[in-house]
Amino acid sequence: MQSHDYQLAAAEWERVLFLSPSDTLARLNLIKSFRLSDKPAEAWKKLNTWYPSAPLTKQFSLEAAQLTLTLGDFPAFGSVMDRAVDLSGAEKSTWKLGAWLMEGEWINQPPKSRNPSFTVASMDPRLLNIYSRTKDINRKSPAAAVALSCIVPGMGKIYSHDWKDGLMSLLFVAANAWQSYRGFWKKDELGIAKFNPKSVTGWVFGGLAVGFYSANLFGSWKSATLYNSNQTDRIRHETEGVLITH
Amino acid sequence: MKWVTITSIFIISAAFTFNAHSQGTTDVNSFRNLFRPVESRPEYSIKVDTKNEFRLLLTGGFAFYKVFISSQDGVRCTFYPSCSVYALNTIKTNGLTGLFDAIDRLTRCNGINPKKYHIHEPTQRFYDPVTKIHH
Repeated sequence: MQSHDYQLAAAEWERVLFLSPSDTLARLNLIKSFRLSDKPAEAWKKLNTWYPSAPLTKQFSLEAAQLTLTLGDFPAFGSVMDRAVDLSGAEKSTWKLGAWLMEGEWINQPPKSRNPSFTVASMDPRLLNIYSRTKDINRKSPAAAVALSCIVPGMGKIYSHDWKDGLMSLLFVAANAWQSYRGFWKKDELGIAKFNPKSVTGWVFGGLAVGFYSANLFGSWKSATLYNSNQTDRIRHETEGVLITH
Repeated sequence: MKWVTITSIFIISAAFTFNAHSQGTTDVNSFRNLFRPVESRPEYSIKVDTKNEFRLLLTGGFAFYKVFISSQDGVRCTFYPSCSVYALNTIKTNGLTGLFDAIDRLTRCNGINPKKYHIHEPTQRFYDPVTKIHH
């Protein structure tokens, strides 16, 4: 394990457990080796086999908490916290805050009043810093993005901080609409513009303009959704970096 | 006489030269497995669907583009998977909404917004996979 070859370490710990099945340290190390060799599901399965519902010691509680958060199994995390009899109140609060941040439901609450249902008393200043930053993140409404793009193509993307994509959408729609207009309205010998509904150019570019306009509405919705998801992902990764590091 | 001499010298020297550089069966066999073809599995299958006209138009258009146009040029799309493959897969996954997704992808295929995407390491292009759209 010291050389970070956790896959080999897991095989070794399994051998140790074969010889001494009730060795608690070997169990703990096997679970840790599985988790660190990117097999958290395997580790969680082992832990549940050995301790299906019994109270967990501090070390096992910490492993179980890391595993459930890695797997994104938040109901199981709640159960682990209930069984973690050796963890202090502050420690539990730290982990619960981490789980709340990683779950990402805070994005749906109003920015300044994003508070979990439990009292925040974390000891880790890094986690508190992440928590305080969630209050400043503005959620983008996909419906508002679509509405904005209805009025001005690309505006919904600009609202979702994708201003370059927004400008490109505007350019695509405007260029095709302009070409369509030029196709339909042509000047005669006297210089008077007349509408020609049989213009092929008009219909082709008109069709393209409608296509790009509809796609721009969809793209704005997607852009706002992606923005929200990126915000929660960033917070999740930072929280992971604090809690699941060793 | 001059041309006979020149031709003779050319043939003799060429014969020696060719002999010196020719490859025997052993040489060919020893290099046979030096370069192995890269095993790649494309993320799409070209199967023209003739069940209805709309599908025939889309799948036929894609097949024509892939076989006759795209194959004649190098990789030009800034994304992985490329816009044509993305279009095919998103329409397969998301139906009509996928069509709008595909057109939106075309407007984004310009490389001016690099910070928005991760890099797909094997191809060194922006990674923008097809996702299932939840309504």
